[in-house]
Amino acid sequence: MCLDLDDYDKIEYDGTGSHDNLCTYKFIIYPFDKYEIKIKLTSNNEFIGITEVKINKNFLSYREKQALKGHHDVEEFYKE
Amino acid sequence: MFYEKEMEPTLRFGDVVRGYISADIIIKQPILFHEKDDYNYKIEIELPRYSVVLTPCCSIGDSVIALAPLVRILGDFFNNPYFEKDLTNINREMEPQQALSPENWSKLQKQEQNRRLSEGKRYALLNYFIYMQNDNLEKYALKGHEVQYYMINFKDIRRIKCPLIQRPEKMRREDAIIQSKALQLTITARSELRDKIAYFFREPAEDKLLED
Repeated sequence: MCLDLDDYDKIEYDGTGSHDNLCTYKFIIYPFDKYEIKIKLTSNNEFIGITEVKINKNFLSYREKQALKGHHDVEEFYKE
Repeated sequence: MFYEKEMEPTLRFGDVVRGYISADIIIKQPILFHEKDDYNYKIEIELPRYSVVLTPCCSIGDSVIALAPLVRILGDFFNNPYFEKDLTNINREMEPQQALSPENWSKLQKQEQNRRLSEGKRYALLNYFIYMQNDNLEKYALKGHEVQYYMINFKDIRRIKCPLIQRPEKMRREDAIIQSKALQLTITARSELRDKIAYFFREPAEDKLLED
């Protein structure tokens, strides 16, 4: 097994307590529109499969986030 | 720095100007029928000492400009030490506790305090933008303070027509329009004004959610 140092943290080891037949995978989160696709790859970047699809909670644009942000409601304390 | 030391010979967004009358049009109700002789409206005209240019720089011209009168600040601002320290803090986003005096904050229920704290940094007093004190602006007394700060209210913007208002590149230093200019904001202050007024006129959250 040969890993790039940068890849090391992305790798999950399959199985515990076994030192032989060690399988290594990468899991990449790929943003797609309002979704996040979790893709399973080998350490050589070969596609294995899609393991998870979930809503991307950061799908709002900056403009949308600003619109939802609101403001401190303090007008009643500053009348005159 | 809030104001430029050297003013450009052109009108810019946020400039303080003098010499522009301001008119309020008051109607008792919408005029839906034209057969009446008495439409029951009135127009109140005043000459504010100073106004602020609120037309974006690139849109100034065509003999028309949007102005807001520069008015005195509210004395209640001095109840809040964060504002009293620097009144232009009102122009920027702030923490929930900074938006209230310590006394008013302590009067809030714990649950309400937590709700506000969870919202994080935001604008407060959304329709106001404070203009820093300057020797060109008249002093006045307010709640025991001698004040030279002024403010504009984004809810109070009027349109003025004047044939002398031209594209910035066509204006000359000797033009009456340029003579009317009293103060020019720095790029930083103008940017803060642009950010706050843009936020004031932003798309409401409920519209955005309905659109989605």
